[in-house]
Amino acid sequence: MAIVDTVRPYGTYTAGGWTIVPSGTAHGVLSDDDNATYVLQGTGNLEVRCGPHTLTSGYRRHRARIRFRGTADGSGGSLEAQVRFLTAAAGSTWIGGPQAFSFPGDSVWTEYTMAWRGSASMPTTGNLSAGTAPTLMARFGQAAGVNTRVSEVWLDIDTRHAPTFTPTVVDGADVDRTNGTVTDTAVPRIVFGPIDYDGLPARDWHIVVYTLTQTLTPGFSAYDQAWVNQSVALRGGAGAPPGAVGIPLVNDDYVAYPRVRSNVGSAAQAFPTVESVAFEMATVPPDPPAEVEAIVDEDRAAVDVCWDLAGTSPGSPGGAPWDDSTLIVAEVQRSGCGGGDVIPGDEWVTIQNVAASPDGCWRDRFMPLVDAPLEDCHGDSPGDCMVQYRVRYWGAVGTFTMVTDWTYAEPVRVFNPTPGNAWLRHPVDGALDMSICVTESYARIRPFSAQQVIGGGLPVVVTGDPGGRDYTLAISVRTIAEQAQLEQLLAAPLVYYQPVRDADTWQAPNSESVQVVKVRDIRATQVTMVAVAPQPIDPIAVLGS
Amino acid sequence: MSTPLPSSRHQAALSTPTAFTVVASCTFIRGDDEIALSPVAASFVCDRRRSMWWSGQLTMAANAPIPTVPSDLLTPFGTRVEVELGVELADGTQAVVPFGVYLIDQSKVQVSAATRSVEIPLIDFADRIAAYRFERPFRVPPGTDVADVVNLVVTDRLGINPGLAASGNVIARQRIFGLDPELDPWREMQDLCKGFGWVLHYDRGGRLTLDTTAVGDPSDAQAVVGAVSVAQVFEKRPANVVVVRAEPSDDTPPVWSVAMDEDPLSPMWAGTGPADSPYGRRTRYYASPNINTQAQADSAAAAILAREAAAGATWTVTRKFDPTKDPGDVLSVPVDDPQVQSVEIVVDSVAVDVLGETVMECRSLSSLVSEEP
Repeated sequence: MAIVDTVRPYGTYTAGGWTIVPSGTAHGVLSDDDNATYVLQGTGNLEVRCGPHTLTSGYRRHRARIRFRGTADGSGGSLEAQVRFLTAAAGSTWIGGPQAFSFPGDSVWTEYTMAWRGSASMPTTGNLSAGTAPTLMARFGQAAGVNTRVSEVWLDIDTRHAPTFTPTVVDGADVDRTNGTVTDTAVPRIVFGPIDYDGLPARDWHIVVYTLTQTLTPGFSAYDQAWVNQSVALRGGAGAPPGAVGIPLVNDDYVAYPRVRSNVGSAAQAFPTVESVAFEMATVPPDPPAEVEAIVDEDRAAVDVCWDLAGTSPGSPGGAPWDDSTLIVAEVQRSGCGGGDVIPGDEWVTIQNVAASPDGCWRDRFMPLVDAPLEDCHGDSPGDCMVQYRVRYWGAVGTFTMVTDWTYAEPVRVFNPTPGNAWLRHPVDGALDMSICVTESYARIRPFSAQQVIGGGLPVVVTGDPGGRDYTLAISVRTIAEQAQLEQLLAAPLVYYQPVRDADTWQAPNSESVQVVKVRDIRATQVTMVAVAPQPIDPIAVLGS
Repeated sequence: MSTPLPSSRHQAALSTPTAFTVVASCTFIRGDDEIALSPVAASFVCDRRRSMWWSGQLTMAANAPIPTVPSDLLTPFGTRVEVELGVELADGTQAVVPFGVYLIDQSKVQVSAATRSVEIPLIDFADRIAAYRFERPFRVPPGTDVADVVNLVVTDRLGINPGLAASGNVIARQRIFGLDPELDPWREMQDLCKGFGWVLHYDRGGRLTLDTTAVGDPSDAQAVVGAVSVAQVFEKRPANVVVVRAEPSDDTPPVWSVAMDEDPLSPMWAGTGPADSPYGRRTRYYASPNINTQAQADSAAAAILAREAAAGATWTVTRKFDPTKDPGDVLSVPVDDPQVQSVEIVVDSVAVDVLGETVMECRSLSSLVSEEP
């Protein structure tokens, strides 16, 4: 609520040739509440210091005006009144323009009030003592007419308080979680609530968010620029804030500092209020696939792994919903054949990530690996074994990536029609598969650079994750038909390669060279390949459709 | 905004560490003659910082028809080239998107015992409008929407109404085209549209388009997966104060507008008084005879300031073949830094080399739009 304080003249800055009636000082006769004492028009400007003024706690000066009691005789008179601010260093400056007053010449003392004035010169903060400076002043000038007089002066100061508001943080169900925990969304919303600007215009708003740990650091200051640069999130805009502001946050403890500023002093001087809201983010991820099924296709030596979102609510009770459940990614993993020494234990291996696939299937070309030493390309063990598949979702929740728990399929038995041989398979299912006797080698390549710093010593290494196993295969075939089949297969942009005793992989053939040996007409093909991921597949709704 | 391939599976391949085959198809058209050819090498650039966004370079296979006389199709005498780029997957399925409509700028033939090549530089289709200079002044009455001004000029020059939808901005006074012998119709329309905060260009499908000069919304950011390299350089001191002045050619009272960065939390805050801002004040002046109203001046000043606020850093993002990105797209690019996992930037230009990489030149999002630290 605005508070208007009134102060009176306590000192004379300049008399300006005005006459004191009957005698004394200008400020004395203008503050004695006696019409018998007054100042009579002079040739210059009369300026009197007014005060002292002590601000109510939490308030700032917004604008000021002059009230005075004046009159004139005969044909009347006129003068200009103006509020000024006097500083010790810079002299006096205007607070708004002057206002002219006219007196009818009836010799009747009448109280006049000028319109409120404000400007950049208004001392919005700090108390003003009754000293020489700084102080507010009332100035009267341009006096004219017949016996234009002023007997009393009051200077009104309009003070306003800073914006007041009580912010809260709400979750996805609009429940107040201030000092509590948000579990159902990754985008909590900061609500400013009703804001009392005390009649001042809204300047701007900001929200800066820090982790609780940051706020406990010695020297922390929420709106210090150095700290703002390290904040978790910053939002803001001009004018009044929106009702609520959503901010994506990962799970942690946070303190948000909403700030609202008004303009005080009629010259856009910022008048801020900063509040704080503490809360914890513990977003619960959405549900995993409702069902995962593995179906063996014995004709094609493959397994169809299918998953289904149907029947699963998009977000478990208390959990966060996907931003868009149609865009979630299904990660498919397979366990080894259990007991094999190539994939130790039952290690889970990701075999495919299927984009935009709440429901879908993936055809796994996996062949059981032999578990006994091999000679040549002959073997008959194991021929078959048990594998298991599991699927989980990745997706965006409040712009962050979240992952669900796994859903498991029942174990299935898979088989290898030619144990002891490796397999090359065309990427198009059923187009071309070859069981091959192969000599293989592979390399794993990673981005790497070692930079020796000036002065020597140990180098700085910039490196990255290694790629997959880039295979080089030496394949021998005995017939032209087989060779043609092999070249047709290797013409594909990528192939599925199942080594005899190693993890399966997708490879992009890079080059192939063939040597034809006269003896027994053997054709030896050398193929270099680069490990890649399989091409994306179309999501296919199978279960629950 | 970005133009994804029509198949989500093919689109996903662009961000998957897998193998695929690039498809590049160029159709050459002049009158009733039409031929579709696949180049052996090609590169294309779409750059919104230029008045003509599109350019390209083709190298045709040895079996392409050798141009010998102007009437041959592969010559710079009115042949239009429509380009489509895309992906072929292992199952033989293809998905393509248009990547510009061009005119042949030159054709260069070299034949030797070991070489037979046809090099074809391409230029934006807007060159056809630019070349159609006015023989006599062309008048557009006051009160005409800016989009309709373009419709009228293009219809007069090319005989085809591009059918641009109304922009909501009308010219205050009669506009006369063709008075300045130094300006062509395309340049004159560009200047007019710029004065109202619009950009005139051909889109990737060859349609004339009137776009706003929006500086990018971070909520539209697309995560870039598989960037090969990211480079950035702070090379400019962008303006934090913009003064727009109208320079009317008649006796209309001048208008002017000042916009400045007023956010104290911005590193380019202009301050409220001398020495308030650590950055200081860097003022950019913009004058145009096409600005007639205060609202237009205010709008132009705000738009220029918003663009300037993002001009401090230039980013170059390189990734494998990707013909789906457009200038104006907002990208979220990983930079693998513990403090800044990713940055949000807006694309200014896209350069696609069908045998190599796609290079995108970008700039930071305007701090006047995004207040992310």
